[in-house]
This record gives sequence, structure tokens and C-alpha cells, in this order.
Amino acid sequence: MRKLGSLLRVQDLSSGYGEIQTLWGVSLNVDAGEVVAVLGPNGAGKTTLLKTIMGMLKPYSGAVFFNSKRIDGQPTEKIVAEGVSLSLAEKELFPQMTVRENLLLGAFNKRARKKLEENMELVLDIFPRLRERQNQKAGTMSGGEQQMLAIGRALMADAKLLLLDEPSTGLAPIMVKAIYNGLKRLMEVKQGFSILLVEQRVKDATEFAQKGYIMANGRIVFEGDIAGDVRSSEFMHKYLGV
Amino acid sequence: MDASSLLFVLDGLVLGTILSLIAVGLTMIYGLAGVLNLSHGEILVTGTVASSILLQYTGLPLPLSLAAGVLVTIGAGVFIEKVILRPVYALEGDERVLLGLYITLAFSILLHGILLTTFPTAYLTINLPTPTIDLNGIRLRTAQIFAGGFSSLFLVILFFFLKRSWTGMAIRSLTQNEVGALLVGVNVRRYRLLVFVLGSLLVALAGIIRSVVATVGPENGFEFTILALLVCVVGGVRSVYGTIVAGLMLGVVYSFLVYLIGTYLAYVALLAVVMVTLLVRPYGIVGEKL
Repeated sequence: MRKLGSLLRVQDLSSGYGEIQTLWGVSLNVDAGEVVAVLGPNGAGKTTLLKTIMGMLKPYSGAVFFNSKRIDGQPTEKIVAEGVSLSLAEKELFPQMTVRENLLLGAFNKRARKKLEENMELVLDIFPRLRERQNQKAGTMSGGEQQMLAIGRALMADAKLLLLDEPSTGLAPIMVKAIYNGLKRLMEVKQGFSILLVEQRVKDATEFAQKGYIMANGRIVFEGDIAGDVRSSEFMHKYLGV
Repeated sequence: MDASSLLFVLDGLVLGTILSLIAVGLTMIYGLAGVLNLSHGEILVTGTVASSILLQYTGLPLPLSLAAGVLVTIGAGVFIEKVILRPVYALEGDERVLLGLYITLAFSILLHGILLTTFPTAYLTINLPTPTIDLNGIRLRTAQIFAGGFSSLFLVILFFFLKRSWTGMAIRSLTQNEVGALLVGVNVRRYRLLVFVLGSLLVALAGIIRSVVATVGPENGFEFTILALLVCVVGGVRSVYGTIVAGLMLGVVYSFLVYLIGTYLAYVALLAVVMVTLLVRPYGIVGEKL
């Protein structure tokens, strides 16, 4: 794959909820066109990391650069406008709105509105389930379909980088497979698109990502290429029990 | 149906659309800010008092006086959001709802006192040039048609605004999931202010329309708040569409009750109707759980 340079650089980031610090000096890098997985047990600080990058939590110290521009401390809507978008494990959908309305709202930022049709077609292409259920209320769908919708809504923001928080949580294996197939299709279609994926399910994540970090107790404890380093590393055994 | 009961239905619908205009603002503000604004009826009266004062003492033409009244109401709404409710936003959940109730109730009593003691005679009544028209032998008050027509028009505009425009969609998204709205890039604070402006605009328009069919005096504020609260609760506290339907329903019911048992008992009976409705449908007629 052609090297496109660093898209997201997180430098020595510390963060947490109020007085409770859960992230201690985390650094990582995502290149354009790359899928990077952050693996680690529950409570390792993975979701805190994503929320801090997204401006939903204020970092105590450290810096976040996106496209060489410093974005830490910016409000979330600015970071969305820069081209980062987040899909949370809790989905956070608009339950009384239809699938289509949820997707439309994903394109709320000005840049995304111009490419609305194009992105809508892309989302409905990678998750055909959503196409069938366009007029159904989001709150009445199954967990897996809601997860697809949450990811689809995040993709509607016309981002360059998708932060993906545990897309497999609580889902049946067949749904997890459908979601990862959709994501693989997305990476084929969208040149230069990047994903920072946070997962507990090591198998799915390592099959999808090219680079991996392992987090534990709010710190990065290992980084390397998925194919070689991460899968064979002793850390896999120590921290993830596989 | 005979002609007189038809007139009562019309009467009720007109009252209903006015109540809906007031209550919709209350619903949206509650949905977005988590505050049940008990001074909402009082700022309606603030607007009509301002218009009335301008008409009486400055000789400003009617349309300009009314426009100035609308601006005063919007100003009061912005003041509530930016100043009065500042400490409320530091709290979350039930605590926010409670403190919001106390503070807006206090502000409402304060406003009521100021308006009543300073401008006790600032009544607003707008008389249309032709009072009645004949329609197939039924004499209709033009004021009713005017009032019903305009408030329906505003409600329809509001409906499409919420359904179709980006701003309207953002408002609805915030009432359903604040984190979700944040994720798609909606600025919570800006829209909270916007919804106060919108709610104030609607309540100001309701005040003007009400003064076409009746007289609005400086003492009427609390009555509007109470009626609007009833409409909100019956409609389902966060549902705009439910609020509109409930407004129409209560308006018609109230008009018939006035006709059947007189003004005083009608109020009591209306409350009974609301109680029964809530016993049967605790989440309001639209029935969305929070």
C-alpha cells in the first residue's frame, strides 16, 4: 500500500472523567489509508482515548494532531468538521427517527451536506440491511442493525478518519461478520480512508487491521504490525488471554 | 350537527391552535434544555403589555407596536436562557428539572408583580375592520377565522421546519439523544439558545393572535402557563406533534364545557378530563416514553 503519511498523531495524552484519570501518556499514530486496532481488556481506557480525541473529554495534558493540525481542546463539532467522526458502542442513535433521518443527520456538518447523496449510497451499499429498513424507526431495530446504523451515521459525516468503538459488543457472530464485511468493503471502495478501531474481540480486529496497539490500565503496553508482532507477542497472552 | 355546535367546534379549534402555539415552545424548551419554563406564559404577556403601552402612549402604528412586542418577548426569552437559567445548567437530570421549576416560577412571580403594579391597564385588543361575515347563513366572526387561520399556518410552518430543515432536524435530534447530536456535530449550547428564541417567537405570536379574539391583560400570564402545561402533559412531554394534537383536543373540549356548564365549572371539568387522560395514557396521547 502506498504510504500517505500521518493522519492522526496522538502525543503523550492524559485524560479522564473529572478527577478520575484513566489515560496516562498515550501516544499513537494512524497513517492515511490504514486500519489501526487498539486492543485491550475492559477498563483499559480505550473508549476514553476515543472520546478525548473527539473532544468529548478535555485532556489533562498532551496533544492530538489531525492532518498536522492541532485539534485537542477543540469542541466536538469543530473536530467533526475537520474530518474525524466517532461511532460509540452505545450507538447513541435517535430512536424516534427513521433510519434515513438518522443517516441524514450524520451529514449535519457543512462539508458532508454537499456529498450527502454519494455517502448515503456508500453506506447503503456496505450495509444492505439499512437500505431495506430506511423508513423504520431506529429504536425498533435489532442491536446489530442499530450498530450498522451508528457506523453508517458516522460515515455520513464525510470523515477521513473513523473512530470505531467496539462494533461487536453484545452482537451475534453472524451480525459481527456482516459488520466487518461491510467495513472491509468500505476500505476497498474509499481510497485513503482510515479507521482507528477499538476492540475486545481480538480475532475480528486482527483480521481487519494492519497495525495494532495493546492497552492496559490506561497505558499503551505494546505496538507493532498485526501480521507479525501483535499476534505472536507474549502481550497477547498476558493482556488479552489468547 | 347544528350551526351553533359547529361554531363551538370552531371556537375550540381556534383556542386549541393558540394553546398549541404556546405549549409547543414549552415542549421544545423542556426537550432541549431540561427546564420546564414556568415563566413561558408571563413572557407572552410581557409582549402584549409592551405593544399595548406603545399603542397607548407613543402613537406607533399597530404593526410596528406588535413587532416591538414580539422583540420584547424574544428578549425576555433570551434573558431567561442566558441569565436566569445559568445556575440551572450546572446541574443534570432531576436536579436540573427541579431547580429549573423553582427559578422560572420565581421569575414568573416577579414578572407578574412588575407588570401588574406598573402597567395595570395595559390591555391589548386588536379589532379587525369587518367584524362578521355570512357563510351559507352562518354568521362567523372574522376574528375567529383570522386567528385560526394564522395560528394553523404558523403550526404548519413549524411542522415542516422541524421535519425538513437542518436546523429543525438538529432540534429534534437534541430532544432524542444529546450525545448522538454531539457526535454528528450539533452545538448543544447554540441550539438551546435558538430554541428559547423560537419558543418566545411562537408565544409572542400566540399573544397577538389571542388579542384578536379576546383581550389579553397583564394578569393573564399564569393562566396561559397553566393551560400550556396541561397541553404539554396530555400531549406527552417531549413530543411536539403530540402537543399540537393535545392543544386542539383540549381547546375543543374546553369550548364545549364552557357551553354546557359555564366558564367556572369548565375549568374544573377540564382538569378532570386531563386527569382521566393521564390515568389511561400516562405518557400522553402520543405515548412516547421518555
